[in-house]
Amino acid sequence: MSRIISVHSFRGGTGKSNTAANLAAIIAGDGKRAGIIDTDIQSPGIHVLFGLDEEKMDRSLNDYLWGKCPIEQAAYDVSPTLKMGTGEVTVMSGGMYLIPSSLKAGEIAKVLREGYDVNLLNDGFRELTRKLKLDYLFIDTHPGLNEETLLSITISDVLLIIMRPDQQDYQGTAVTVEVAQKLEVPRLMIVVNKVLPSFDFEALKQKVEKIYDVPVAGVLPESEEMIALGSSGIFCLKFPNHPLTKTLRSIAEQVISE
Amino acid sequence: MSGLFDRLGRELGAREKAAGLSMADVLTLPNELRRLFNWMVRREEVGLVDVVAYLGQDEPTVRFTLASLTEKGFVREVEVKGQPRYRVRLAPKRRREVPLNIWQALSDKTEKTGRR
Repeated sequence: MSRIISVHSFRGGTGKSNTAANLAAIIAGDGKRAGIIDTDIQSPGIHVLFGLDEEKMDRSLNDYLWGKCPIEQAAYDVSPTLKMGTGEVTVMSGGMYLIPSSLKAGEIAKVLREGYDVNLLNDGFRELTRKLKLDYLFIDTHPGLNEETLLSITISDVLLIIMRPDQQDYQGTAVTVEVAQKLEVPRLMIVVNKVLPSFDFEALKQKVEKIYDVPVAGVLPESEEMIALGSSGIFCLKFPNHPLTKTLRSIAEQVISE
Repeated sequence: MSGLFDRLGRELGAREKAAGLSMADVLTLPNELRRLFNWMVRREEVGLVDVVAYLGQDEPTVRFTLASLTEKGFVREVEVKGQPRYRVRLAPKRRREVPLNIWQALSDKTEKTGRR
């Protein structure tokens, strides 16, 4: 039975897409079939992490929503592009698929201008897991709350909320937790990201858990290597032995645990 | 679930017939109704027997409820293998109401740069 995992943050710039891409890559690397869909139709970007050239992207989630193709035809098999830091292709017994949103200004404008049938998005999530035989589907959401996000949260088995130790994030996370509880998400977890290494990580974890009464799956440090990578690849594959990767792996294990 | 159907009746009576329910609408519903819609969205589609079991009500009451929800445009009935199934009818994402010249400017810009 496939599981749907939404990765969300109330505010932008929390490292949501990076976290989603790394978790999906770790799970796919362990032999599972993972998909990742970019529902941030207004400001897409996760395809960059997988090295997908926007000029060569001839299909996207937008095409599916406009009835131009079935959802599985908007999926790109990105398994071969997941390379280790050494340049060696990762041996993956599973598979990794990416469904990007269009980065063409005219297409973003069209979807904003004309709207779309939200039922198609709901159907698309299920179709994807069935047609691609996915074990896990990660949904990379738009920050804040909109229809796509609320739908993604509702149908998720797990909601991972990403936040930074920042007062605006604290307040925004409270809103997301409240909404997720109203929508009765079976499992809710928080990841605190971009934490200065000088912080006491354990104390921060306990503080966040106490505020929201939600488990913290991991505290990720602000990393010079991550900044230097600049979304030009999947961190855990470039730096498989980095402490950040070890924490990401631990988060992945918690996400897929029953 | 006691009183659910009274509240449902009042809620439906107060609402206009709609072309679906947005997820933001679902958030504003009273608890029991919100749970029903959450459950239906998560299940994708449900049969009459499923709803009877979920609500713990008799079949005629559930039939009436589903018919009311369908009539209001919040649920749609689909036939699967000759049996009726029910799905939440999600409202289309509304178009953004912004001055038309913004969209025109974007179209002009993308045409000039040769991109869609």
